[in-house]
Amino acid sequence: MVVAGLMAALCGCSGPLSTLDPSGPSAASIALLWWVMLAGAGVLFALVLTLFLLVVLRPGWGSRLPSSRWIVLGGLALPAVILLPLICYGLLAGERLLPLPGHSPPRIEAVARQWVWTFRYPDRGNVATTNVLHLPAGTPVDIDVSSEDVIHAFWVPRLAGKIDAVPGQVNHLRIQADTPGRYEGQCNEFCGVGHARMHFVVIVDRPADYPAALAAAAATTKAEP
Amino acid sequence: MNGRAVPPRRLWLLAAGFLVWCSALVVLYALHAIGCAFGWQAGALRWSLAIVLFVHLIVIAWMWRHLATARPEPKLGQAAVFLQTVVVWTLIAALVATVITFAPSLVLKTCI
Ligand SMILES: [Cu+2]
Repeated sequence: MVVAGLMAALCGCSGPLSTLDPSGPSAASIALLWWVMLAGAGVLFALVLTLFLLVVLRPGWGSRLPSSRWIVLGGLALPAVILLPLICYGLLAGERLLPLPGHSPPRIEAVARQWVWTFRYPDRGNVATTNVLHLPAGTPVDIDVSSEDVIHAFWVPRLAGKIDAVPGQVNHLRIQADTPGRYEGQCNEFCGVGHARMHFVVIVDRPADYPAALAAAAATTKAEP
Repeated sequence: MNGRAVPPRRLWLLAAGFLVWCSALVVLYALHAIGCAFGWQAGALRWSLAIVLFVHLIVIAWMWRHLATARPEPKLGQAAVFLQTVVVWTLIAALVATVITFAPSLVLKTCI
């Protein structure tokens, strides 16, 4: 039963939009953070349930401690011991995800518009693709995310965290895909009636195949009106 | 009933500590964003954030001290004593919350 339940639960962890099925260093760090938070929440839940069961099964248990002690220990110390380390870990993990200047990887511009994504490749002759993002595998790329109308958000769950696409502002997201393949992205900020259908495909090519694949994709984009 | 009712206006004291917390949030957030947008030097920005945070902490600590040592008017009875206890604890909570929520922004990377 337990195994069947676990299998059913874990099946939901894969899929093209799963943050728990990472395929790049940023997404892996975020997934690990999620697991650490789950473990912390699990420990807290277990502690609270233990106290609860003790009180239910042994009436009068714990009544020797004054209520003020219960408030300080149970209400402050117990969560603080778990939550403060989680805060520190979360802050450090977030700090390491930042696209720090210094080493500057190739750039790709992602421009959002109701309800289309346009990707431009300044390092590749400024070609453009629509709703398809081509990335080389195994190397970091900086995505310069912006918008032409309302606020959108760029999110490829299996590769990195999400970042807002704000009109008049360019936000940077460092992204790296470890293995070639097909990934999916989704606009992650409600942007109008077309929001739910504002998704895009991310094709990760082997570095050797990348220029040709991008050129082919850009050619079909131009052919469309 | 013992004593007269506590003036309703005094209930606002319950919100005092966390109103200062709100002010810290808004001012720090705005200062951080403005500093990054105008490209201030990281050191100067960090120091101005630290000073703003410190001023807010001083304000809460001052209110704590002021209220913890104030003697409730005897004619107001038990309710006033209870209210004062609760207000003092909200101030302590606000002080701790201000440190936990805003101090990390002084240590982390300011702008990229
Ligand atoms: Cu959108």
